[in-house]
Amino acid sequence: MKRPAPPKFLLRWLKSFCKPSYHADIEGDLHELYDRYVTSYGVARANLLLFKDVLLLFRPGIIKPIFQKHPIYSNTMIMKDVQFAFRALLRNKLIAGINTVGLSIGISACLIIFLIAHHELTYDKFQRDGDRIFRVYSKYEGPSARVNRGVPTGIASVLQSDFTGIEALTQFHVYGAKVAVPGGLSGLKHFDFYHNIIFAGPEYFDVFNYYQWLAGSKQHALKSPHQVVLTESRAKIYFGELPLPDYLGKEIYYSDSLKVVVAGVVADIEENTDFNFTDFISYSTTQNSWLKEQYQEDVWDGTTSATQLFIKLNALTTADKIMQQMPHVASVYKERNQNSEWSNSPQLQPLSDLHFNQDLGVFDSSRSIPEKSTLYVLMAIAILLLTIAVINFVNLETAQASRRAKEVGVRKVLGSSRGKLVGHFLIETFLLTFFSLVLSTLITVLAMGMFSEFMPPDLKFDPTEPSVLTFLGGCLVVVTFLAGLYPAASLSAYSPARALKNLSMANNSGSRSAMIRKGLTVFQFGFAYSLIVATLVISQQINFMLDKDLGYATTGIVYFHTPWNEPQGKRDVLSNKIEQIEGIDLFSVHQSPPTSSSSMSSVLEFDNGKELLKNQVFIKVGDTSYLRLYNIQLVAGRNVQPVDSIKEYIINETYLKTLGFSDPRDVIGKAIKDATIVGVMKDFHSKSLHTRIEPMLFRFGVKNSSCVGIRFPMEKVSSIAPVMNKVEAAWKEVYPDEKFKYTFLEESIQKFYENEQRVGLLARTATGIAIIVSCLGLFGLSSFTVVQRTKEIGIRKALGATANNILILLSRDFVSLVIVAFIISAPFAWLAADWWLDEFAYRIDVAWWVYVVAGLGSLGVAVVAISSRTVGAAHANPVDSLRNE
Amino acid sequence: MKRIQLGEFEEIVLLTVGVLHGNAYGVTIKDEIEARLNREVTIGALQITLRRLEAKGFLKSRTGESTESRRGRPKLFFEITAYGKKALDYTKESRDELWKSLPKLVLKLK
Repeated sequence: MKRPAPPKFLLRWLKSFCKPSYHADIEGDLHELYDRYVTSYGVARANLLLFKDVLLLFRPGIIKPIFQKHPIYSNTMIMKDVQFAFRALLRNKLIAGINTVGLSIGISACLIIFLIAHHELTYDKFQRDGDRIFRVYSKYEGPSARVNRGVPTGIASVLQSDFTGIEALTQFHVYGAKVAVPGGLSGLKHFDFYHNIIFAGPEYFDVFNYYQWLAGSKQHALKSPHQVVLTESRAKIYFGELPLPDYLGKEIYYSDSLKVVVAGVVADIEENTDFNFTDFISYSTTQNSWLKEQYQEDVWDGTTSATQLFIKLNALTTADKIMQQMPHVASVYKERNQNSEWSNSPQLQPLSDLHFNQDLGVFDSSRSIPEKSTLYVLMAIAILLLTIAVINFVNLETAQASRRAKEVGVRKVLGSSRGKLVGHFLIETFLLTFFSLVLSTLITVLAMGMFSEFMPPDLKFDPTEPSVLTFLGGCLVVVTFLAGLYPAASLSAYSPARALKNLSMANNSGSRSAMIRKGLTVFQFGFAYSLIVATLVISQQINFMLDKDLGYATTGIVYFHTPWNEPQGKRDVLSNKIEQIEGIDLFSVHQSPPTSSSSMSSVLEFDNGKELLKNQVFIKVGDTSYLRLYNIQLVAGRNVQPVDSIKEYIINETYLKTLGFSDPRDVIGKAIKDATIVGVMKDFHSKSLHTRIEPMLFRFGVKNSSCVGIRFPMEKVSSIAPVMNKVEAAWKEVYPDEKFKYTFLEESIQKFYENEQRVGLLARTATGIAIIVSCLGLFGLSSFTVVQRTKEIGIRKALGATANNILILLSRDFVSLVIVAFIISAPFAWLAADWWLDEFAYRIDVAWWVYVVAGLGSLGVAVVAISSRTVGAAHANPVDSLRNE
Repeated sequence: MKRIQLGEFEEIVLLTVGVLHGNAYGVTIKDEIEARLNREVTIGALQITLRRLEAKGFLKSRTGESTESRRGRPKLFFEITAYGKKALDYTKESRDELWKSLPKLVLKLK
């Protein structure tokens, strides 16, 4: 009978930790004991006992040291390692250079994206108990569903009195005003129009309790009307440098007539925050001044997005518990709101979502909201760019294997362990990565200047900041290991005998490292190719959107807004003055140009005889020249009459179809509530091309119309400046205090696609980087091949091969890789392009030739990169290459 | 002379190696101690002690033959060195010295 053998894994485990010199006899002892265990207790018990024995052997004294000291290769040689690494890098300057450039570009891309992402993702992370702070916002259901970041003012008191679990609650109004302080020659010192002013009660500082009080106190400031708390920097702007307590009691005028007294100064917030308010006027001021009309309390019918409601929950309450109480608010809303069609069920928005929510926005619409998905796409691109740089490194290092094989052989013969060799190669990689890192901080500084429009405006690059240092350190370690480990492992694996006999197999095209190299090159070019496709698709779509006929005239039209808070009469005076200026073709007073970011809509009912059709309809309001100015064609009917008392609508074709008519003439004379349809106009795009054309109507109205559009005669479009100077002069007569600012309609349309333009620029940059880095790698590989095959080329030429034969021979491999990359990545590129284009209601269809052009483009660049070395080699005189031995 | 210090288990192992005289390797040492002193000895504890004694110069080792039950793994035989003997002597003497100076009274009290 065969004796049972001890479990293999136990013996393997022992071998893995035991000092090699102890191993043999200890294992022998264990075998002997095991046999004895088996005879006395049986196999199962014996295994258990053996396990115990091995476990107890796992102790210091028997475990081998992690870093084995070698008699002739001790740690004192670490400086020598660095020196050798330097020499190895210098020996191959071209490849070291390519690697450094590639890696530093990749690292810079990562660093910049890291800075952006870190900046955006740390907004308001410093808020104490930030996870318990929520914004209450409105969610409307009714004829159409929408959200509003503000709430009706009535909600706050319901939450305050009827809800449980709320620790603190603050309602504030976001405000903007011209500011003046006593002083100066005319008795008042005027400042610009400032945003970031809020009307807030003392509770504001309970919810957001990180403010440091430099003067005054939370307990007393903002208690009574006509008080204001300033941030330190703002106080300095208003009153100059003063000892902090001296600011208290100073007077400030907001909007010329709202007089308030400084009751406190708080420190500025240094961290990233959306709560960058600088003037906190006491909430009760609104109810004790002329602002009372604008800010009514306990309102349920209307919602302004400037009214913000924030709550801080108890430590024990969850958002769910608050949401369970919300139906109560919704029912009060139903009760109190006059308009029965709408219902409002308020929602909670966590503070962490504030900075990223596209639908709600932060506090005013002027801030652009970063998209989290964009950030993630950016991060992915940065990591991929770094990856292709790392691939370059891996490819070039393994391609050099035959050169390094001798070195490895000699080192091994002299007693170097494999671990030591791996360390040796890693030190080389580490040095190179370190240089790249230093270089990349320089590149980052330059690039941040070049791409400043991508950057959040207050983003700074400070390499000594802990987060940046951590990132750079992490980068150094990760890149060193990613780039260095595979080459180090494969190079150090050579057996000394084979390496010294130069049997190294690294450059046979079938060897494993060669296959990996090919795979990595395919990946690089696949990525570069996809980026080329992306660039082409994005620029095509942008051109399509900019060139698309919007359904009305856009050239030669400028518009400007008259101050909304000035009396109507002043605008009429201005209109009269403009009418007399020569060189103006036509002008029109209206609420907004045909395409604008602000829109007005209403739910209208239409009785077509069978049923009542309810639709959300967008409304444009203007005078009678509106349609003519923008060259919006009437399909049927007539223009509206310039009378306020008669309600007349001109509807667009989409609304016509929605109402169920096909012939525009049929709808003329029909009534929508108390208004009559007098005409049908052609469809035009009132929003960006992301959205479809929706039902719309035009009606006469100049009362609240603050926008003035001016059209210039076609032949004078190029010389509008003198005319606009006259318009400005007229403006100054009417509104001496206001700045005159006008916009070209075409420019404002382009602004709709700023985001896409930025994405386009990003794609172009990423493509450029990807192509440069990939081609650097290809260039390095091909130049290496050329050097390796010098003799072969010489012999081939001597035997009668032409330069073209040689060229084809050398390029064939690389070109086929690029083609494979193209074939593999084309479907992915197509999917990605289609996904991106799906965001647009009006989109291009990507033509097949885009993929071919992108493929040919990447192929062309690759061929250029290769041929810069191969052409020289192909034309070299074989005598030169064969003579020296 | 350098001070000689032997731990309790070290002393036992050293003595056992001497007792086994020529047939002292891991398993036999373990068996001998277990049999004579009626205490359990793990291979781990024994092995480090042997190596430590060897490193201190009290023991020397030589690789010996193998047996079927060891599946080809060699035995490592240990032998006391002259220095090891001296250490044992020294230890014994110092104990005796202490015993002698112990007042009789103390022992009787027990």
